[in-house]
Amino acid sequence: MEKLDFDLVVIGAGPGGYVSAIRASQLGMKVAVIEANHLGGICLNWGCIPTKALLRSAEIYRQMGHAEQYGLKCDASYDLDAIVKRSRDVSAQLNKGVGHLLKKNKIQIVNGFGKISGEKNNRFVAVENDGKVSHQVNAKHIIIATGARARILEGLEPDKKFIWSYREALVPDTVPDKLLVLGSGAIGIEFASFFNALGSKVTVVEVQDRILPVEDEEISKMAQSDFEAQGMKFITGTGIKSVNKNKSDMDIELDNGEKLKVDKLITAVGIVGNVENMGLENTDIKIEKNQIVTDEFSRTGENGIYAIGDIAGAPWLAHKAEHEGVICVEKIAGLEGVHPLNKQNIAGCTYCHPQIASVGYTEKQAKDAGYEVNVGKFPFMANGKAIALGEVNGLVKTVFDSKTGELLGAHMIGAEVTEMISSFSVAKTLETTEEELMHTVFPHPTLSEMLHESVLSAYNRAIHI
Amino acid sequence: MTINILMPSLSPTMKEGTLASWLVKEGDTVESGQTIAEIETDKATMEVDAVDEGTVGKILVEAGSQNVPVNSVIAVLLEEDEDASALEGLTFDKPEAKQEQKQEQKQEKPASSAPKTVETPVVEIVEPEPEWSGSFKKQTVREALRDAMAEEMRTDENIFLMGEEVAEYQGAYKVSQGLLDEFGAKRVIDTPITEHGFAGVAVGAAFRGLRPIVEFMTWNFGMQAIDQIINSAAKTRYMSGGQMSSPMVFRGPNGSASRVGAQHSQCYAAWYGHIPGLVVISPYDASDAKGLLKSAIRDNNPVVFLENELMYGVEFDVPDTDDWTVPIGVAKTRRIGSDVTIVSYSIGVGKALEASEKLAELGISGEVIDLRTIRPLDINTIINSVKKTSRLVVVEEGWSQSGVGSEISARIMEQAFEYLDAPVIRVSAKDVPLPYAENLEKLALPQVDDIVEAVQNIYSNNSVVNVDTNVFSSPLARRIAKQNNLSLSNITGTGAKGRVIKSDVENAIANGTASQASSASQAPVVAKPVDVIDDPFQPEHEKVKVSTMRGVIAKRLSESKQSVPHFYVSSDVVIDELLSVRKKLNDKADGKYKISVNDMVLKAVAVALTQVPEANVSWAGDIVKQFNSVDVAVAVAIDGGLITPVVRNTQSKSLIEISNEMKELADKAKKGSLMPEQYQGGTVSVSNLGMYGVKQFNAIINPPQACIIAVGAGSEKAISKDGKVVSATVMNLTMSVDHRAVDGAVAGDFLKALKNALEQPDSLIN
Repeated sequence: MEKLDFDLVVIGAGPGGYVSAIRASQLGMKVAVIEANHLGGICLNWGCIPTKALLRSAEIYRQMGHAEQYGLKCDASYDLDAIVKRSRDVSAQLNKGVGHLLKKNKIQIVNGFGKISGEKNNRFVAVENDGKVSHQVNAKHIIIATGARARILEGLEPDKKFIWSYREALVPDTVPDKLLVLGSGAIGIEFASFFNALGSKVTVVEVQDRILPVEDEEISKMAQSDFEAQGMKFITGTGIKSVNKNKSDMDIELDNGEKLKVDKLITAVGIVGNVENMGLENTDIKIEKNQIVTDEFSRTGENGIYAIGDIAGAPWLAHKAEHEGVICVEKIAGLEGVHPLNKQNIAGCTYCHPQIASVGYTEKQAKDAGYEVNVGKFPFMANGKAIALGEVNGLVKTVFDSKTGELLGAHMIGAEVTEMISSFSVAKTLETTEEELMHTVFPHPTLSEMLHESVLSAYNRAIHI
Repeated sequence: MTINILMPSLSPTMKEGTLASWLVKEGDTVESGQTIAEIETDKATMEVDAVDEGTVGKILVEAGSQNVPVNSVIAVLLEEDEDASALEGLTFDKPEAKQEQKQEQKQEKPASSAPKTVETPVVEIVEPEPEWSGSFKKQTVREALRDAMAEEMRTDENIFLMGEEVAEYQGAYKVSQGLLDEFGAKRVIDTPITEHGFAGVAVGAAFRGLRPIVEFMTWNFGMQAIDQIINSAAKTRYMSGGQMSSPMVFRGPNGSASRVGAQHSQCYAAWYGHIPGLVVISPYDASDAKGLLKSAIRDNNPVVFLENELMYGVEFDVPDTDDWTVPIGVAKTRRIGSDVTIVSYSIGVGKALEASEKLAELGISGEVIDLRTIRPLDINTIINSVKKTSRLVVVEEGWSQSGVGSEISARIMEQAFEYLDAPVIRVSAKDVPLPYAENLEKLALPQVDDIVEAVQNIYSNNSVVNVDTNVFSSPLARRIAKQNNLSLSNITGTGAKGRVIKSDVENAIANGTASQASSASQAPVVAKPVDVIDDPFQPEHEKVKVSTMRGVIAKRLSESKQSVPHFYVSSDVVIDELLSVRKKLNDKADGKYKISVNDMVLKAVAVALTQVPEANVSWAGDIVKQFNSVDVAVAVAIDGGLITPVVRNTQSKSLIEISNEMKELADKAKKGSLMPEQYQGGTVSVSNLGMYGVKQFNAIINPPQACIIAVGAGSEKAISKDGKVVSATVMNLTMSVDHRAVDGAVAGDFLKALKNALEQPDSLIN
């Protein structure tokens, strides 16, 4: 067994973990990262990145189908294996990249499964390989960044053949004829969108009363009608009652009594934190609903032990994990002026077609929180660039506090909105009011001009509508 | 009484003249109108006629005298039953002597470069109406006006009402409902549609001794009668040299109603307010409408009484009496505030009150003054308010140019300029004929939000924007600070590179560590902590945040110590007798009370201040308030600070009552459940550190009070008594005194009276 000493050890090399490690190294700490599977975590290997690669193929294929609209001619068809291969190659490339980054920052990578061990106030991480402790990693500070995995409902366990989790859905061997997606959050909708583009007849079942339940109501309504126009079906307010697997397909009964016959089912009903077998039960670290309870600087119930990212609560987003990690490390280093992460300023993106992106309060949340609001809306239909791109479906919606002019939230649907939302994240982080946004010159012709117009519209000053 | 005959003035520029000749001699009887002398000026010769009849008693200026000043007595007439003895001691002031005096005066005048003092109109101080302590009844403004007329008509049969539709139709707006039935057609008279005509008839009636009330269906129609109102009614007293007057009231609805167009929506307050000789009244509520209309009817001047159609149907509390009057010329403070004074009249008062509610939500405390009378204008009430708030907004439904607000603005500039922190802002009708369309009408007239905006502008114009542009801060932080009228310069930024962000401003508001951003010259109220950067030579320390209460105490006491000129008087009091009286009282208390030395000090302060009321005072700038009761504020230490609950009317309460009340107040103070009326407005303060064994200390005056008495601990001392050294219990009293209001001699008198009361404690038991 090898004994190693560090200032900081991070368990988990996902986006939260490796970014924390790099920031700590920048701040002069001696850092190790313990990883059981692969650098980059779920995000890079089995999540954000490979899905974006798949969706890119779907997007181009979709555009090929509309080639005539642009005066082009093409005979569209696809090779599923090649699509999946490209996606895996992208992940592999980035996985390698993370390794280079860690090396460049002189961060030691310890392969194996990290466990919190030792006595209180004298903790270390025991790293297991093949059931044996291979390393004892001592550090003044331990960051747990072990992330999360798909939540699996009883009776809906992935079986590779009929029932897929994201994992199986990322490497499909076939495009199912009839696909049922359970769950209409970002993951469910992205897979629904991908397979729908490749020709599946997709039905999405959502237990809440509307799809994309975290998004602004108006946006989720627009999304649903756009998806329906593309041939998708939605059944909301119900879950799955029973699944009966046949030889080549399944009979599915929903809680509302509706019966469906499908070839595959993708389950995307949220995630659970990876808190098991880590020795946490012997510590004062509190776990609630499979997540570690932390304070605003990611401190757990034990001195010197921190938790960041998916294991430490919503929103379960890579960029949230990265920032949480940076703040945690900066606080450990004693930097001045470190503020807790303001979750209101974290944007969420869904890369279906049309794309959806949002930051801050929805209109309803703002009103429920007691704000008097000014709401601005600008449709893609009225934007020159959108028309030129042939992407006329979409909306940019902004919500302001009438009293102070604070930008409370922004909600968008349409082409490239996942790229545009950052403007509003910057605005929110800098605490600009409507006035500065109105004074900002947006270049013409761009889709971004719609952000400006939406702000103007919130104050009845929109020009192009 | 003898009648003086004065040297007449033959032209406006004439200052003196030559008495050319007398046409009468002493002893002659003269008749009214008889020519008695001839006067020469450098321009003309004129005859002097006798005004009254009588006998020429004495000629004081001989014929041929030159340079006789205008208005000097030149002869004396005896009335019928008088004889020459009435003339004893009469002499003529030599004109030469007067001129010398004048020259001396001239020399005393300061050099011409000195600033000219502004000639301010003489304002007669009229006492406001006493507060009504009886019952109230709910009445609309319409009913209150009707009752005012009916009640006055019952007491004086010279009063009558005339106007279009006032009788048979019961009034176009039903203000004269029932008057025809009660007083008959002789006193409630329907007129033809000819305002100039019937107003003239009424003026004539007033000349001859009747007291007409003229109702104009609206004041817009009254424009036909404007010549009668101004040239006949307003000027006749002057034109007749005081021989005739026009005791009458012109009344009717004024201002805009609701969509009656440009010609029928005018506010005449400024028009008539312009005219010397008129009284102009424009009440807001029913109580004032009644009380002022009764005063107007009783007044011997022609009164223009401006009502408001939209207010006729609004109900208010009105004193339930038939003798409720409100004095003319006294404004009413309808809401007390500290940050800005909002002055209005009539319907505008309601809007000002509503605006001040909204402002309160923004943290701005507005004081609302209801003018009630436009002329004579109660400028003093406004000045006193502005002295407190330093900001003034005037609201009226008339136009701004030459308006009532403009007049107030000018007078405040002339008389209270140094008290202003911001320009006076007028909120008035837009400078257009009033539009007929409903939406435009609303836009043209001053609304609640216009007032709110005007007040906010005052704040933003001279404070935050100027002061804070250099503070590194987020736009949202700047806006929130501006909306809360806070200065960013005292807020520590926690954003990147010390940038002040939203949460910093919100924390500062929550913790009370932010300071008001008023004028740039004002020092921050709560100064930035000196050791934001730690002094390396200071030992380690905790940083305890300043609570809101601590901040207020710091502010008030700093202000007191810096602005009130303190002086101190101190005296030792022998309290053995007091202690024994206290013991005797407490022995028979049976648990019902427990009198402390401090309770007895409170009582003694009341006894002494009753004897020396000159010390029971408060400095108020241009006046000193001398109070009729002794309300003693007592400093009570509570968690995080101190508070001064007030025992009121201490002079008329027994020791036991004082003791029990004090105990209850102290308990409430410690629980934090005192109501504002229980800790505001004392006339004198007592601070007692005796229980801590403190022998003597000096307290800081609790403004606006003028005195605070610091009570030390009683201790055994050897004193000389009747030539022998004896042991006695001695307690020190040290009083801090505001020298502006109380001088040393008064303070000494008071302290002596206090010492006597404590040393002869029988006077405390009543």
